[in-house]
This record gives sequence, C-alpha cells and structure tokens, in this order.
Amino acid sequence: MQHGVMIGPGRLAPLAGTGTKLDKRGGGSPLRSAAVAFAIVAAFSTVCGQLIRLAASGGGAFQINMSAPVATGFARPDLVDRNGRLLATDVEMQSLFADPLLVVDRDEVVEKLRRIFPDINGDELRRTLAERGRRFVWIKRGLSPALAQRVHNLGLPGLSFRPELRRAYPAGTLAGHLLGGVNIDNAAVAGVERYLDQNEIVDSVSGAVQTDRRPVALSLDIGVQHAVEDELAAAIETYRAKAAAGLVLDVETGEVVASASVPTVDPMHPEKTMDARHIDRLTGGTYELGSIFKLLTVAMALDSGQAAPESVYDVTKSLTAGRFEIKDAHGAGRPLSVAEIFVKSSNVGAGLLALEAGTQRQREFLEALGLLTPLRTEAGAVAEPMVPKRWDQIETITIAYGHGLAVAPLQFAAAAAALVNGGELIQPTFLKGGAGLKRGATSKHRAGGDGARRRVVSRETSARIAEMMRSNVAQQGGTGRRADAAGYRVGGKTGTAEIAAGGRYEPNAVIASFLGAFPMEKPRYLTLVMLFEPERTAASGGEITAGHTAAPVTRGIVERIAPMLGVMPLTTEPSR
Amino acid sequence: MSSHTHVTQSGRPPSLAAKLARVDWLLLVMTGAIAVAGTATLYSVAGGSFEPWAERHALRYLVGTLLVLIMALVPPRIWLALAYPVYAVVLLALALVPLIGTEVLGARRWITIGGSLTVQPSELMKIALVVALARYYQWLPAARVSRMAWIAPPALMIVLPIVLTLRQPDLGTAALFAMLGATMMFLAGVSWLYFAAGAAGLLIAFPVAWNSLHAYQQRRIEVFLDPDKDPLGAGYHITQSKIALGSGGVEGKGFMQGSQSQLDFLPEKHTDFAFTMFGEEWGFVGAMALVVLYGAMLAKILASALKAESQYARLVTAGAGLTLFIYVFINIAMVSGLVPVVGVPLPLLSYGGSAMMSMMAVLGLAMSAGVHGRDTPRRGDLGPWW
Repeated sequence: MQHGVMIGPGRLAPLAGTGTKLDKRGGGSPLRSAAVAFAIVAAFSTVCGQLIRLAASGGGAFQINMSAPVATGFARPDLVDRNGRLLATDVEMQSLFADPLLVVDRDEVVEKLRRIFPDINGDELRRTLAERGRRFVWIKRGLSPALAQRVHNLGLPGLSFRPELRRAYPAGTLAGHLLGGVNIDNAAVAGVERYLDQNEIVDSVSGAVQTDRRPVALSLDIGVQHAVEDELAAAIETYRAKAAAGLVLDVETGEVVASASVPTVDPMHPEKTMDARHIDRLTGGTYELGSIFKLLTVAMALDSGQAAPESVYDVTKSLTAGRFEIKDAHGAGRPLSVAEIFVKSSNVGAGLLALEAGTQRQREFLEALGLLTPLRTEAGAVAEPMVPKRWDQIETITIAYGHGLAVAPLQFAAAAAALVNGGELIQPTFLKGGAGLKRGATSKHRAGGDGARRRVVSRETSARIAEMMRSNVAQQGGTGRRADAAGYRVGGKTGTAEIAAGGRYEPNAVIASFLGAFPMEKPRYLTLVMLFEPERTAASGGEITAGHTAAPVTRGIVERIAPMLGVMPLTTEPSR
Repeated sequence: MSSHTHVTQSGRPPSLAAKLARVDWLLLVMTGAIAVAGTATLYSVAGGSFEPWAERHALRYLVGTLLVLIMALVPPRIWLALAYPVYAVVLLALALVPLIGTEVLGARRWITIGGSLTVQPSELMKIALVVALARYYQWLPAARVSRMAWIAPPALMIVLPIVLTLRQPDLGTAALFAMLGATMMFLAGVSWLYFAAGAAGLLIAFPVAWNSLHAYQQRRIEVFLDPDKDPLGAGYHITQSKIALGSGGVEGKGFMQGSQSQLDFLPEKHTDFAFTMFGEEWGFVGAMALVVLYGAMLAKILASALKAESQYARLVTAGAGLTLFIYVFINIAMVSGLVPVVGVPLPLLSYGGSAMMSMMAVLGLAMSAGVHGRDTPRRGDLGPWW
C-alpha cells in the first residue's frame, strides 16, 4: 500500500477508504465536492453555450457600419463646352476629420491646426473635440495636397483624412452664372449643375469615387463666351456702366453659344448670385427693354397684313391716351413708312401700329412669342415676365415701344430669334443639341408637339424684319450703324430704356441695348448686348443711347466671335 | 494514517527519481499546449512578430514550468511553514501598494523592486491565500470547523485582501479572492448555513455596495447589461469582442487573418481579449478546443484533489483548480459578453508575467501536494494555529 501511494496516482484508487476518513473529518466532503464540480460544469456549459451562440450569429447581429457617420457626397460628370473643352470636373481632395476619442491633447491639436488654418474657430473646435463619444468630426474639407501634407506632418493622433470629390472649374469665373455651383457635399445649388442633379445625371458616392458617366456637353463655346465677357468688361470701363450683359444665341437650334453677365460670378462661390449687383441679368431679372421691342411691334403689323414696310403713318402728331401724351423726342417732322419707323425708332409710329392691331392682337402675338408665360431652361427658371394687370389702350401703346411689360432679356432674345430665323419659335437651351427641355413642356400655350417648332410669323415677315435690321445698321442715319462689323453683315435694333425708379423714369439712368443678328442674308446668330446705366463719356460722344454704347460693343463682339463661329467676312453685300 | 507515520518515522524521504515519476506530466503537457496557443496568438497580435510579446510569453512559460517542477519537489512541510509568514508579507505589500505602488493605465497595482522588477502583490496574494487557508484547515480539528470563533480567522484572511484590492481599484481580483476563499472554506467543511447567510447578506448589502463602486465600475455593469446602448462608448469592448468571436464562425478566419483583431477594433487583445483574438482566427472549433483543454486541466486537478490524502493537499490542490477555473470562466464569460468587463487575463494564453507566474506557482503547490502524498505534517507537528 505504501508503495502504491508512492508510485503513481493511478494506484491511489484503493486508498478511497482512507479518503473517506478525511472526508468525514471535512464534513460531508463528497457532496460538497460534487456541488463544486456541478457549479464548475454549469459555468463551463454556459460559456460554451455563449460561444456557440456567437459562432452561429456570425457577428452579423452586432455589425457596425463604418461608413454610417461619414457624409455621402456626389460624383458629377464633367461639363464641357460644345467643342469638348473642360468647364467643370471632379477632382479628388483630402478632407480632414478628427476622432475625438483618439485625440490626446486637444489644445495642441487646436493650436497647431490654427497655425495652418487661421480661420478655424478654436473654441468651437476645442468644444467639439471634447465630445469624445462623437468619433467623427469634420475639421476642414477639400484640402489641397500641399495643405493636407502640412497637416499630416503635424503627426497628431486622432486626425485623419478622407478623400472626397470636389468640383473644380478650370475656366475660373467663365460662364459662372450659367454653371451655377455645388455645395460642400458636391451637390448642386444652382445653374446647369442643378439640372444634372434634378435629372439624376450624378451618382451618390462615399469617398472619392469618380463617376464613369460621359461628360455633359453644353451649348456654350468657351472662346465665344470669353470674347463676350471680355468685351463686356471693357465696355463697362469705357462707358462707365454699372453692369453689362451679353448673349449669343443660335437662332436655328436655340443653343446659347455665350451667355455673360458682368460682374461675373465665380462658380466656387455660387451664393454670390444672390447679391443684387451680381445677379444674372439675362435670366435673373426682368427689365423694360425699350425700343428693341419695336421689332416685335413691326413684325406683328407686317405679319397680320395690316401694313407693309412701305405703308406710311403720320407720326407728326403726338399720341394721347388718358392723361399721357406720347411724342417722339427728335421727330422727323413728316409722316414715316413702317421701315422708317423701325430705323428712326419712332415711339409714335410703334404706338400707331399697335393701336391699329388692337390690344387683343398685341396680347395674342406676345403670347405666341412666349413672352407672357414663365420660361425654364437647363440653368433653372428664368425670372417671370411682369405682365401689366391692366392692359388697355395706354398699355398697348407703351408696350409697342418696350415699356409697361418687363421680361428677362433671354426670354426676349428667344422671341426675337423666331422673327429672324424664318418665323419659328425656339426653346433656348444651354445643352449642345438642345436635348434638355421641350418648349411645350413649360407652357401649354406653346405646345407644338414633340420637337415640332411652332411657326409664329411667316417666312416673308421674317425676311422683311431681317432687311430692316440690316438697313438699320448699314444705312447712314440708322440708329445701329455703329454695330456694323465690317464684312459680317450685322443687322439690329437699338433700345435705350429709361429705368423706372420711384414711380417715374429717370432720364439719365438707362439700359442701353442692342439686339443684333448676323449674317443678315440668312441670320444664324442673334446677339443681345445690354449696358446698364452707362454714363456720358468721350468714347460715346457724350451720349448714353444704345446707338453710341451697346451698338459699338456689339460690333467689337461680332468681329471677335464671327471667325470662331465660322462666319466668313464678305467684302460685298450678298443678296438674299 | 498509519502509512503517514511510517514515512515520517522511517526518516526516509522519497528519492528525487520517485518524486519526478509522480509529477503530473500530462498536466504540464496541457499547460504547454495552451502556452503554445498563447504564443501563436501573441505573434498574430503583433502583426506577425515575436516581438514584443510572443517571445517573452514563451520564455516565461518555460521559466514557469521550471518553477512548477522545483516547487513540486519541495515537501509540503516547507510550504506549511512558510504559509503564514508569506501571507503576512504579501498582505503588507498589498497594503503598501497605494503608498509606494507604480501606476499603470490609471490603476495602482504594481510595486517596483530594485528598479526594474515590478510585482503585483495581488497576484502573489492568490498563492498566499490558497496556502494560508489550506494550512489553517490542516491544523483545525474537524469538530471545530463550523464554529463561529474558528470561522473568523479564515474569513479575516479572505476579507483583508479583498478590501485592499478593492481600493486599488481592482474589482476582478477582489471578486476572485471572494470566490476562491469562500469555495475553499466550503470544501473545508464549513456549515452550509454560513454560506446561506452570507448569500442573504450579500443580497441585502448589494445597494450599499453598488453605491460604493466607482462610477466607471457602475457604468461597466450597466453597459454590460445592455451593451448596445452605447456601442461606440463604454460598450465598445464587449460589442467588438462579440463581433470578433461571432465573425470567426465555425472554422475561423485563419491565423493572422482576424479583421476585427488585426484592424485594431479589439482592445487589449494581447491581454484580456487574447481569447477573442484566438477565437476570431481559429473559429468556434479553435475556441472550443481551448475550452476543452482548460476543462481537461481542471478535471485532472480536481480529480487529484479528490484523491488527496490530507486536508492540506486537498485544499491546496482544489485551490489551484479553483484559481484556474475562476480565471478561465471570468475571462471567457467576459469576452463573450456574459459578465461585465473586469480585467481578468486568461491563464497561459494572455500576456502578462505576474499572472503567468502566479498561475504556475499555484500549480506548483498542487503538484507538490500530489508528489509528496502523505508526506504532510499533521496537526501535532504544526504547533499552534498561527
């Protein structure tokens, strides 16, 4: 027995009897051992059960989505001009964020970051970093690689970068109004960018994932756009105008080749368009456009057959309507033909033509040209026309020469395009090919079927109008002769509209406009140049009228853009 | 009884070879297997490097094995003689920790000796408590075991270290002392009535105890009860650990492939959460194999406790088994979300010198009792109870 004990545990079994003695001494030991053993087995079983449950769950029940706290952005297709030149693109940039839990020294982080980004609100950042449960706090988004490297070099724990897509506009402020802009998440806030979002031509992405969509081609031509903006900026200097706007429209397709409003807006700061001085004057405001409206009045008279270009009207007497008396400032002192009324821009003559047609006809004609209902383009809604509530004889007369009905210049240009393109109404578009919007879609009055253009005046009327526009520029004594860009057969109509302020018109504050078109034997491009409140300068011969301001600006523009648009200069006037 | 007298009377202690033959080698092989798993896990935690943990872990295990063997060869009478003095010294050290201790990660649990060697008195106390309680009941006649006056000394031996560790603060170790001490007293034969009364007392004291807990301890328990309430805050550890264990599935993600662990979602994966790391990479199969290995170790230790021939041998062996069990259970239950996070390492798997050494020392004591069988001084040889 003794040896058995010494040699191995296996031989201890026969000693159970001895053990019992010990157990008695310990007081019911087998039962107690069993109780302890049972507790241990139970505990192990519980643990095993939990392990089985966890293995069966696959961890799914407890999954935490890492991307949840991270903002989602948008991947946008490139915007290019009609020739494929880049206007807007997405670039990958680093956005800096902090995980407050991992930040060791808040004060150090704030102090060092403020050295790189002085505009960071230190107190606010310190407070945010104190919320250690947040785990994700944006600090600065869209950092350039150089700035990101500087932050990286600080070596501060808790700071990390997330690559994000940021919109970049390589052409700077060029066509800024039109392009619009995006917010911090690369979502559009205005302009054509907004059109992309509304038509779901953007992709919602997390992080810097470029879209594989094809670039969206705009109707703009970067070269033309630049020339227009450049000439307008120069005109503001020359004529000391408050602002200027210029439009080049393809009258065949409705494509806007250039659309400029100076002062310009940087698409990186689209919020600036809200500022009154920086609004897009072509689409964002409505104006009484003055004498360029006579184009419509004359076209209406010719198209209804009530008058021919040779028909003569007595404009020597002033027109009276109610308490108003309308007379021409520099009257010819003799009756004028319709063509002369146009060239000499006679208010009385225009009023006579409108009165002859009647209020009803005038209203229908303007309605047909789309001037009385809201217009939409891919760049958003155009400012709605301000149609007079009362439209009687007096309004008929004033609207005939461009007062009493305020419209957005783009909307007017679209209407005027129909008068020179052979008589069909076009939908102005900012997309190449004009696939954006159907004109009929926005107004039931204009519904002309799918893609079918609606005729508003006859081919003949259109030809007559073109002739008058050309003679207004080509003839000695025409108001638009300063717009005559040599060889490009420019035609057009001037308009000098006094600006209404405080219930009366201010004679020295005018909008000088020139509605032009070229080449006049078969008009392809329509131009609209507007100078807002030009001053009497030496360059304009002390005049503020459109013939001395907007007309020469138009000539400058046409001379620059016609070659780009493939319009050949001719030394002799072609016949129609 | 007669055989015992025979051995002492003969004055012929067993030879070294005989002692070595009685060493429980299978148990040592099991500890070795777990230590290998631990080394592999620590290699993986370090991203595929023996530095800084795996190599030292393996080395410590080898030193620990040597310690077990040396302790196994030392006769129990030496341990019985050392029991109370060692307990007293460790208790003093534990009391001194708040005054001269070194603070690590916000807890003051370590004492630095001679500049570089740090020891954790609370780890040493586990050994000291087991031996001291075993020595006390070896001495105490069975008839007095359940008498109030003879319950007080061991109760005091248990409560003093609990109070001192709670002040460190170390809730996990304090709970271990309580469970270990109470179970040893239970096995020593203290009447059921005391335990029933104790349990009732705990229930009544709970509100008081709750209020005396640190805010972070209260929060841990609250979050434990509903970790999803704060998955990114205080519930983060539990939630991530559960994800890791669950995502391992049945077969695991493979060595060095655990994403939760390798990508640093998991906290303290070289120490308290080493099991999670292992479970994610080796799956349910691996985790269960580990649990079975621990269970087999435990079964062997408790079986030899049942066969022990003296109260000392029985209690010291059971004490070693209980220490192992409590660690293993609390740790695995903690990382799998069954009990609150209390910061208890998994023996032989988790990195940590003090924990490894105290575990090995307790095994060494049990081995010594097993090797020497009846060669245990009787009450008469022990002199007075202290």
